[in-house]
Amino acid sequence: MPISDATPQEEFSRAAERMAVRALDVLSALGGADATSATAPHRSDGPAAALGGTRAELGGARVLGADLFAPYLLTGTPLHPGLDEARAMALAFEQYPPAQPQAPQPAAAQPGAPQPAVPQAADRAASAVVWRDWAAAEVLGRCGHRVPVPPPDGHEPQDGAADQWQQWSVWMAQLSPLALPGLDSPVHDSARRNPRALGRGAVRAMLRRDYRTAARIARWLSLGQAQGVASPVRLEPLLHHVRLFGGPSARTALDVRVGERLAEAGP
Amino acid sequence: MKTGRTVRPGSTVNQDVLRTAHRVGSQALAWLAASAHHGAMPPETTVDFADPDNPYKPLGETALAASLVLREGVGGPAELAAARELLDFTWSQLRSGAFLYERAMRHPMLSDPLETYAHFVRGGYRLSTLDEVVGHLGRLDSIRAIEMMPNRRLAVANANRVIDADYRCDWAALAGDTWIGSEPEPWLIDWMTGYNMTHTVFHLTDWGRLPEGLPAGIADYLGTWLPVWADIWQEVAQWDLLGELLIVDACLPEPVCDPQAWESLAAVQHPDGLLPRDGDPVDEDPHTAFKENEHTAVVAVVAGTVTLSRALGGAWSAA
Repeated sequence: MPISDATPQEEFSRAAERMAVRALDVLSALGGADATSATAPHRSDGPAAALGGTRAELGGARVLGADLFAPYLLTGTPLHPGLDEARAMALAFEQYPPAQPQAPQPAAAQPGAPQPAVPQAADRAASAVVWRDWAAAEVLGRCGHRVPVPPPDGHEPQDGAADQWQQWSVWMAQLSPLALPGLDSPVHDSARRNPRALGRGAVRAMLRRDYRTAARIARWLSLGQAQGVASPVRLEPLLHHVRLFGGPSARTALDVRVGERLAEAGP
Repeated sequence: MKTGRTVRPGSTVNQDVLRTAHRVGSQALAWLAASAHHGAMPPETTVDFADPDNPYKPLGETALAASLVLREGVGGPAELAAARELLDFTWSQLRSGAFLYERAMRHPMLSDPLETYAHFVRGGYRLSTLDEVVGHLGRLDSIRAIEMMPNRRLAVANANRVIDADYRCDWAALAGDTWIGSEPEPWLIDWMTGYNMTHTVFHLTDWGRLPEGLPAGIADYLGTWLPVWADIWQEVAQWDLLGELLIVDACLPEPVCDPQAWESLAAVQHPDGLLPRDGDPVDEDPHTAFKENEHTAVVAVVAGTVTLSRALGGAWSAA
């Protein structure tokens, strides 16, 4: 490993960027015209040297989560145990096993007090991790690698109050790796029920120049659109704007590309 | 009840919002009334004034706020009296309309005498010579064809509508020419475009009097995106623009903004009623503080008045 002054967090962040670059490359290679013929270059019979060769890369794979498999899910390319991504992700789960979080505590019961639309900040962050781990493990399971993750029971999103769209949409942005074809969960139900709150969240993020959050929320709208749920905001110009204005992050670029692919699929 | 008023049918009135809106608006009105002398015209002012900070425009804006307080009639006796005093004061500052008449005669292609006059007509003041001049000018193709921004063209049209009950124009076409009329991408709006957007709504509805004047497409669009704009300008403490957005909220078929926006305005309002225009410190000099924040007071008075009136259906204004 090269000597570096970077903190572990920075190493992970850089590794996640590299993982995103790889996912973009694979998506580009798989194209979508004839998906099955493009699987060969990404099957490795040797140790996972090409991917996940370092602890930082394994950390990066954990950060990217289900998005490591986005090219396959978007193009309908079959998943199997020999995929580099599958091997790396299985190793990553061994190296960095999921925490065993507690279910969020119900809010102190006050007669007449409205239920919060989403869990409070700390619980929200913990719930996001649980769902992201669930999604990564779900896709990995479809590859033939079973990894134990905490069940997401008790972390269901509670959408409802109209004035909570800000917090809820940011939470959904953190869950953008779930916005992929073939995954379904109560989080997806919540997204389908609340296109307007997602639209508001995406537009708010755009105006705050938080382009990564905007692209992540837009992914949910794109997925909804592909499933017949109309988006309140036109996605093509929004995503193209993020592409031009959103900075150099490959992770943002991946969110944009996934959003574009989903939106192109249409209902 | 006044003819033409549209009550929000079956609307669930948020009592906290109404209390806050009333308090913020009435305190801003009291501050405007107590500070009015800071906004007086210098005695030597001519209709050719060159100073862009001349009190002429703010006097018109104060007249607007006062005229709406009187039109809606939802304030208490003290507020109605303060509004009448302000309207008397601003009218006398404009020499009972003579200033507007002279300016229209001197610069017939300027629209500001007409627009300013409309506020006074709304409040019950008339000057027959000015009526004759603006009526004549309004019929000239040369005036109608003046090149201006679409939201400004709506300002002129609404002023004509207030002054002349028989005035007719193609409101749908005028609305369609505006920025918001194209139902644009809501994520690119900037500060100036935000102000222009609010004025499109103000003039189409004559400041909340005619909510049905807002085309359904624009109303739907605002129902979705107005809360986002209120959120972001609240976050950056643009209180003046936030107040304008709350006026827009009150002009919609149903209010859509987070009640927190009103609480934010209440939280930054000074005990004497001054409402800071933004997050910068308020100048210690009372005159400078007045000049810098008088527009925000006007906005707060209008926002409080129209919010209360729409919610109450204007019932208290029944004569």
